[in-house]
Amino acid sequence: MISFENVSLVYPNSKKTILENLTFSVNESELILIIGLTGAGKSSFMRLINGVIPHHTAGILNGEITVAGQSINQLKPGELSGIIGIVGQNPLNGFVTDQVEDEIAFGLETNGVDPTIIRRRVEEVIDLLSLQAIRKRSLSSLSGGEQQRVAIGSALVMNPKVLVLDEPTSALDPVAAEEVLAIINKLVHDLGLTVIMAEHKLERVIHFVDRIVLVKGDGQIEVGSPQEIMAKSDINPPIVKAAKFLKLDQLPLSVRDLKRVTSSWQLSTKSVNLEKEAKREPIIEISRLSATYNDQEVLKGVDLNFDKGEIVAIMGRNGAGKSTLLRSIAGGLKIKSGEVKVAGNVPDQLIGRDFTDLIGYVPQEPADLFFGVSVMSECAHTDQHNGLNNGATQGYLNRLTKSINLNSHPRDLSEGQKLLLALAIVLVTKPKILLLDEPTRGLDYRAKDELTQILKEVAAAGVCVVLATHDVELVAELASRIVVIADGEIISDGLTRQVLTSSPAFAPQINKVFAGQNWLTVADLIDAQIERDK
Amino acid sequence: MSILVFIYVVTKRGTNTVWGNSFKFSIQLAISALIIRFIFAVLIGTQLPGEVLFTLPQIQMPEFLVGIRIGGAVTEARLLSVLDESLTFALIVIAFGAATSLSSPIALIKMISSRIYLFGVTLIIAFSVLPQIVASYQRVKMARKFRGEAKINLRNFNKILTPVLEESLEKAIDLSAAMESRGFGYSKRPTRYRAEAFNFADLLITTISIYLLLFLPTLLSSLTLVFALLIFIAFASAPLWITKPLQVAR
Repeated sequence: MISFENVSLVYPNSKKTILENLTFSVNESELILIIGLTGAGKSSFMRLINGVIPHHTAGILNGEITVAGQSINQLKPGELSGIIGIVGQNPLNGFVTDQVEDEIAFGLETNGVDPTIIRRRVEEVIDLLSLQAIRKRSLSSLSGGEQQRVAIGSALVMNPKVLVLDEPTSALDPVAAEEVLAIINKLVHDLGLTVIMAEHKLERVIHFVDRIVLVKGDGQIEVGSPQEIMAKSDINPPIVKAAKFLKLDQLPLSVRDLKRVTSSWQLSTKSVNLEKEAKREPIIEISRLSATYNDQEVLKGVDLNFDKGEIVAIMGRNGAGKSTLLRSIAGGLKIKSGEVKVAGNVPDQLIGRDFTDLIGYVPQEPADLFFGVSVMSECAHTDQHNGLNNGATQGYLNRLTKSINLNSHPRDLSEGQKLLLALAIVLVTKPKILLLDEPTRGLDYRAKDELTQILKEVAAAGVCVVLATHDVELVAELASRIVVIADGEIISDGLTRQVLTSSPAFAPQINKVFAGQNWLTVADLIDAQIERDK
Repeated sequence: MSILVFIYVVTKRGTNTVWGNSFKFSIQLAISALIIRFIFAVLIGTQLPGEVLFTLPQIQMPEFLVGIRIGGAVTEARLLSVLDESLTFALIVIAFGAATSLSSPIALIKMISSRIYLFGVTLIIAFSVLPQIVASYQRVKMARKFRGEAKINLRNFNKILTPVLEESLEKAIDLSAAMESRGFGYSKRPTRYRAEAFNFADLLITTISIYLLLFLPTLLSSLTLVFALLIFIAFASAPLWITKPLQVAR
């Protein structure tokens, strides 16, 4: 279906080879997963297939890429629209019209397809992706999962032979992500579509892909079955990590696989006792808080306390009120009723150094915080503004990471690097509380590990860390306490182990496999093994 | 009365989008226009005869400005005439607000002739970037507050503008790449999934309403019938010279 022959790719003004002398082919109706660390060349690899490189962005390409028998080098991206369908990370960015049906029809309209055929194809796609209930709705009123389904629909309507998806679930909550992945799985099996997909969250997809392409970052790639690649790579979901620790012959890819082969081993181990809640020393006090966002009541009479040195994860569906809660704590929203106090202060009234000494806030888009032209000037501005010694912020950033080029523009950094820079900016003033709004969006495994380390250190120094997130595995590793919000009300609040083990929707993979043992992470499993051997 | 009808229609049919909110704004605008008009009417303007309601201290104007007063007596007739004319103005403002909130500009662009299709799609990008600029402006403003920065004024405005414009540019490039990947601009003659041009019923209703509005007082005059017929023909032929005949999907 797709073949690469001796393909090399170099960006101008860069010494690094993105891809070197690559030969590889994708068969008809295969589901290929592309993995690799951020910046390793995953996106470049995908853009080569759809012709965006070298037509849209610069890049020196050598070799021959053919899709369905046609050489890409000769075609422009627009001429490929009947062969390749593309779905991006954030569906809203790619929408042209404002209504579901019109959006699906757009590609056919612009290609001059006969209206009677358009009518038929739109109807087919609506049935295939179960969009019937929302076909007349405006795109901005849809949930994230529905939007992504419409985006897939508007690519499918062109009858492409290949569907290319670049991290299709990274902006979605777990339920919406499952919805989208189920659709992709159905397309491969029922329609025999060839699908190429990049995805950071391996645990969601690894059990239904055919082959994995590991982009290594040194110009080489490795292609193989999920088992082969997982055995070689250190990018592993918890299930594979557990299996490697237990030295299983056959690597399991799903909860079911691992559960089947470990049931006897599980019987020989002990479960973990649930901890008691510790004494509390609140620093953030919220009482009867109601807040509105865009004229809608988002929080309804919330009572909460957060303590020094704890890491609290706030979980819940998209739109449940997580971001609104964080913004109210940081004093960024007009509060309707109730009050928020941070160490006895009303955050809304703090300005300048008084604010930054007390509260650190990293928004969903860390780049919102940046307005300098380079990382260095961004750091210098922070020093100057907060009256710190010259180089303080830069020094802090160096402690967090050494991978950031100080001369680069803040917006050119990878998602993980942006987050680290934002952390350096807000942490250098040593705030007493740190608020993070979905910090793991777009982060790869390595960046997540770095983040976990940093946040644990910060909390150990007595800072209260509150983060809104969907990432159950991260929460299992990191958080000491979980607050679950639904429809603006708190529906559960407790220590991580209690909350995660009591709800199937929030259970991490390890807990699903070893139900009843109260384990959350691979570390728990290792502890249990050591205990058993004693 | 008409204002109430508009409010009813909009609350019944309105959408909660960026454009849908424009109705609220238009009502605010109309009310403030009404108030300003009244203040001026009481303070300044020509004298009208009638019952004097109250008298303000008057400033003596020079000889050559006869008929203009500042302050002085305020008559009932004066207030009534002001109410009359400013209500007309408010009605127009609210009617426009209602019209924009009921239809999105994108739907309007679609009615543009396919001969200037390219122009239409440029407008689509512009219109979808516009609300996004507002949203990212609010986000960046909040983020600045979280960095403990001072309030926004003219001098530091560029620090807000830079990230907002950078983001808009990125989004616009994303959108244009998405449009290109769906084959936009490679076919000379795009078709329509649904034609949204005027249909015959629309024409009939429009023409009859214009006829009634304009000529109701002299309904029986035979000349008006001729006028109505002329207007009808002009409207009926409109799609022929505004747009190319569209193929309607069934």
